[in-house]
Amino acid sequence: MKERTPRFADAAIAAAAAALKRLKEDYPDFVGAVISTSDGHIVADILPSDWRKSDVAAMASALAGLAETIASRTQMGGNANVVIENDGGKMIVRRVNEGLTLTTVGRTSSNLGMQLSVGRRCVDELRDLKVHDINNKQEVGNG
Amino acid sequence: MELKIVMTGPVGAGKTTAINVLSEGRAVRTDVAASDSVALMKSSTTVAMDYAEIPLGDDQVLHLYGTPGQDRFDFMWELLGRGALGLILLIDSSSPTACEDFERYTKAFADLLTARAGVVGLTRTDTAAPDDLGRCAAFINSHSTRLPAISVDARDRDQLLLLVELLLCQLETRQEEQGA
Repeated sequence: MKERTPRFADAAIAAAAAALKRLKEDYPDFVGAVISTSDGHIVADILPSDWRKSDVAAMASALAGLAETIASRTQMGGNANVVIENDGGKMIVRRVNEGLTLTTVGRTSSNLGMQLSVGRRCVDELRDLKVHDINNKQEVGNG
Repeated sequence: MELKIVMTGPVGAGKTTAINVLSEGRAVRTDVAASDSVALMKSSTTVAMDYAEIPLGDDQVLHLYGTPGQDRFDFMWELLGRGALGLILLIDSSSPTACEDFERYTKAFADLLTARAGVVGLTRTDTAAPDDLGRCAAFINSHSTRLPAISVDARDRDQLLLLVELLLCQLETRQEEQGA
């Protein structure tokens, strides 16, 4: 089967982009962030331009999927977020809703608590966002 | 004896179904809602891996890892391929891109196929047009990778176990060749 990148509705992309803009304003220590579908397609991002953005979205999707599975398999309920602390910075992956994921990237010096808290505000703002693949009328998002 | 085997192939070839059937419903899955054209075929898609532990008797345990099918998850192909003893490639024989799919996945897993062994399971043969199926089988049979291919129903445990057995025979032969 030929893979085809979905085309999302402009309004949904604009809402996601606006939420990311506010996220960066709320906490300038963010290096970047991306809102992607749960199966790894970018909806909007403010990631550094020299990053392979689609890789970040796909990997975030795999991480969130694994985290949810391990939480479920160990009877630990749902997964709130995945925190990755690297030598060069911190990444947090969390679900926005069933169909969308938010990944934030902070500097090494960034405060993990702030990163979590500002990310949660962004998720709350986007909780009801649904994205619509214009190509095949598929809708993903909450509910 | 512990055997790590990877199952791969394009979206919709039946990997998740096969691993779930082989493990009698006990597979670890990472399915999420599909947001793209995959949704026209099925509602969910694997984003990290499927995994199942399958006892084979004689103290042999098969650790079977299923990859996501989409190219954007190829980082998982590499991760899951590490330390694997063999590859099961499922190809949807009813797909118009079956030959291209075969080419793509054998190329992506070339190192594993060269060092170890692999087999091909042709799925959805019941819905494939006879000409397409014949063309697909001929293409695989004449391909330089020389992988044995059999048709398999991803919902049928016995057929899947036969495919696994075929891979184990291939592994044994390869080990004998390398030891000779």
